Amino acid sequence: MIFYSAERFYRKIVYLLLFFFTIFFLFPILWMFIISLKPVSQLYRFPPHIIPRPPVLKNYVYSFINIGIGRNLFNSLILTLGTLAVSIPVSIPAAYALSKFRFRFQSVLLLGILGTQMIPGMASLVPLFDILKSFKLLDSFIGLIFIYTARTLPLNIWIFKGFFDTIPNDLFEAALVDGCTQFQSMRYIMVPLVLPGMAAASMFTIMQSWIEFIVPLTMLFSEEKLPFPVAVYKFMGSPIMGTNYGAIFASAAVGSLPILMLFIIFQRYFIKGLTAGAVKE
Amino acid sequence: MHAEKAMKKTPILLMLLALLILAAFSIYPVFNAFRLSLFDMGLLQREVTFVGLKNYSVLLSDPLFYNSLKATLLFAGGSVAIQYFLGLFLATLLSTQDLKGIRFFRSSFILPYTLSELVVALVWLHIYDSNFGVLNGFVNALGVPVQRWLFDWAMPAVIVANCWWGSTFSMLLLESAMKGIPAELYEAAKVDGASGLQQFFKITLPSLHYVSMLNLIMITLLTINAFGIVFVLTFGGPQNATDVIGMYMWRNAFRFMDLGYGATLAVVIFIFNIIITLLYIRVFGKETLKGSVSK
Repeated sequence: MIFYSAERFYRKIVYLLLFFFTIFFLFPILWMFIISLKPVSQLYRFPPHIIPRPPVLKNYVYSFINIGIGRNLFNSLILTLGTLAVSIPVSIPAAYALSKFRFRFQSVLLLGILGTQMIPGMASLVPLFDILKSFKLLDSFIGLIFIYTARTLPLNIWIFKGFFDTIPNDLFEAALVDGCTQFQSMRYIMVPLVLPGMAAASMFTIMQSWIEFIVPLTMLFSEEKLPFPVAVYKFMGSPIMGTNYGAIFASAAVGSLPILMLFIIFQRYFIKGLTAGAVKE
Repeated sequence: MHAEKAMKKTPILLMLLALLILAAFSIYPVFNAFRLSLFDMGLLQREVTFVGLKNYSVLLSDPLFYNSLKATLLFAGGSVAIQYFLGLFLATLLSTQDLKGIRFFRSSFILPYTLSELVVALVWLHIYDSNFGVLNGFVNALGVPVQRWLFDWAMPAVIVANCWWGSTFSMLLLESAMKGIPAELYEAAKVDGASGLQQFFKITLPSLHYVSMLNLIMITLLTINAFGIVFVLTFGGPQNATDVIGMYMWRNAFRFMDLGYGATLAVVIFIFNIIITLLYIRVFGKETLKGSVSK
């Protein structure tokens, strides 16, 4: 009897803590949306109102028409799709080779590929700037796509390798006996079976390239090429728009929404993508 | 004979593109950083002068460099400790048996991680605002005088924003590792009369040994190298109080246009990363690593 009431008390505490942390983690995000819906007259009140009265969409209109955030969202989309289009097709055959072939220095190569993840991205900014400069890729999407690809490849290879590992070799050998070439067996048998891996890898890649801030800030100069985080940063510093909190928050909210939605819909794959490489299943 | 030779080449061909991209954009930059650090070069000028190790001797007598080391130590130390223990705490909460609404709680905790560093910093910039920020509104309601958070509390403020964003990662890693602990262990402990706390310290924590090491290495490296939030919230200020080494490197290379000195700082960061990784492996024991490689 005493044991059960102690257990119930413990569970109450757990729920209380969970609610507390839910507020801690969700409030700032809700706050962003709240500010983006506030009329200008309520932006500079102290203490601030929690609920905008009445909520207005004016800030969003301003952010699309006067700031032109649509252009920046489009740039982010190109960078993201570009990275996806390079990173996934490049990592699949590499993962396939590491999973289904036996060759010399295989484990060294695998560790080496994973090890590149440990190379800090930010410290690479200076040498990468110099490398892009010599390839004449500064201020270009292509240069950024290469950088993003290099950052996402190790984890994508690891995710796909995990899926290839679970597919029995017999299936693959049967295809060869039936006269498939190596490439055909990869294309028609293996790839369809790793589609779930594709989802996890894609989510990870999309998120990484969509939210990147310091890299494009450093490597892009032309106003019309800026992805959304860099553009929002520039508005914050500009003397005219910098004081228009409402419009800046509307821009940030619009830019965050796609990934928030993707996350809510494909949560399972997201988590798999984030924890891959560290946790073996 | 031919077929066998082709078989040998196939894996290399399949990996070729991946290896080339990684070589050019992940591995070569490390060497390039070292090469650049030997030159005196501006950001966009063509002429460069070889100066040998001069940048390094400048570095060793640069008070701002030592200041950035101190700031990094505080920022990374604070962030890593909070992220690891908060992650562990949240993972433990989420692992409580038969909880209702667990998916909702977990999703709420993860959401910040899907935001751009810029958005995270922007939101917290507004929360911390000394004139009409919501934190001061809250503090004021409690009867405490309003604070200038980003001036008088700059370092704790950037650490909190950083942990709000990054603790998820630790939570996810540790939670999925906890799921892998066999339930029989807990059942046996219960039969033996072990309390919840005893179970946590005798079963859960030891089982998380390897994941904890990996997690700590990853978040330490991530924190040392991430400065997007600092960049927006304080830009290293006030009076260089939050001038973490990444921030200092960026300012030298891209604001003061001194690419050679920026590269020198980058080399120092690379070396620190290696030392820190080795230190963790040393502390946790080499066996931890071996246990992870065999699959």
